[in-house]
Amino acid sequence: MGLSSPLGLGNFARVHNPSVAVTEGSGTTPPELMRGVSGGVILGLPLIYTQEVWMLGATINPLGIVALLIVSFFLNLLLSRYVGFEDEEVRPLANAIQGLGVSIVLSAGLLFLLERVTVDMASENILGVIALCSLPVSLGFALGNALAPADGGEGADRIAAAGGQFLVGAGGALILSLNIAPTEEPVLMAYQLEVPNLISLVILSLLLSYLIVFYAEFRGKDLRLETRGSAMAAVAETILVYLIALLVAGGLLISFAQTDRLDVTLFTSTLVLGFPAAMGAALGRALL
Amino acid sequence: MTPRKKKKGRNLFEPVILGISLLAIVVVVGGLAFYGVTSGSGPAELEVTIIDTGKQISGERVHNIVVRNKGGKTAEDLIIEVTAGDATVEVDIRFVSKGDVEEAFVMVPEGVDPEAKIVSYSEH
Repeated sequence: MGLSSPLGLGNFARVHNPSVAVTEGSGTTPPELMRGVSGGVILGLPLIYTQEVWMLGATINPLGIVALLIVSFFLNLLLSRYVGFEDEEVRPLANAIQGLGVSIVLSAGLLFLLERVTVDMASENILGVIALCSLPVSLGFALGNALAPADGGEGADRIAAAGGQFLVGAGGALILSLNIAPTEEPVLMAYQLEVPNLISLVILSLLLSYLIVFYAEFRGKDLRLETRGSAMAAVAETILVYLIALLVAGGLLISFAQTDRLDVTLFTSTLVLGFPAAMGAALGRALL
Repeated sequence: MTPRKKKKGRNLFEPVILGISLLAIVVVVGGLAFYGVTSGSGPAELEVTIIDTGKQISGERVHNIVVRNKGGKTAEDLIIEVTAGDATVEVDIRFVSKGDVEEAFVMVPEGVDPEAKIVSYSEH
């Protein structure tokens, strides 16, 4: 059986699906790390898309942010001890360092890609914004096993067999992008982002979606690859679900009257909101 | 049912990720601690300049308003008054972080030298 509570925190122990092969021995593997990234994306993306955070990161006293990082690190230690993102033995210190460090790198990459930090900003402010955004990402990372359990959810096989991955993908896209769509940030970023950034965002959306569904250490990963028949079919499905996520994102933007015309702004805003939507779609397919 | 176990062997991935993670933490925490100790904590110190970009739109010249904050606090909700001859226009800038620069643009009739001054802002 898998983790029984929604966050699995009540268990305070590693629980594995007996039918899943577990690894033993020698530390974090790339698929396990991708599960941590998945958890980080769930908690971190809404905050990375919030302009108050961009301002606060450049406003709060740097020593205050260091204090927050220290508190976050100790929370990571505790969460790594009881939840973690690895399948194997509990190594809280190594896991907490990896969780915080990778979250900083991930947040920095996304903030530079979305032009929320730029090289001509004061370095103090660059570090502040990156550090502040990495806090929820690192907590999501440490909660990887709970937010993105390797055991997946009940009925996962039934949904996949019925071709329900597209429906589940749409649901996941809706859940994650619903928090962001009513805000002005997607349209604001769409106005400010250059074409190369938008193209990179599309590529990153597709790449991370593929890695989460077909590479990260979730139950049914091998079955998903097997039932698709070939790597090309998996790639085709990734693209198709991304298009569904874009439809969800565009539909939400129109529903919330963020833009009232079918123009370039709607298209670019949809690509910006399409990133969290694609992550939601991927996580939905990987977990259910 | 007993879990099936598979050996992973030596894993080079972990030390690499651990090294990158440690480096990222040291850079961010060390950098923030350094700036926390060395950077000033005084009020926002704003300097506004207006530069003719040389571009024209509908017969008017585009001027660049540059606001630099040399102080120790972020300035929020800035209102900048630009005067060109008899005409006056207000420009809003959401915020200028400490140590940073923000820009805005105004159109000014040909042959008129505009002046810009900050009329209000709040500190954060």
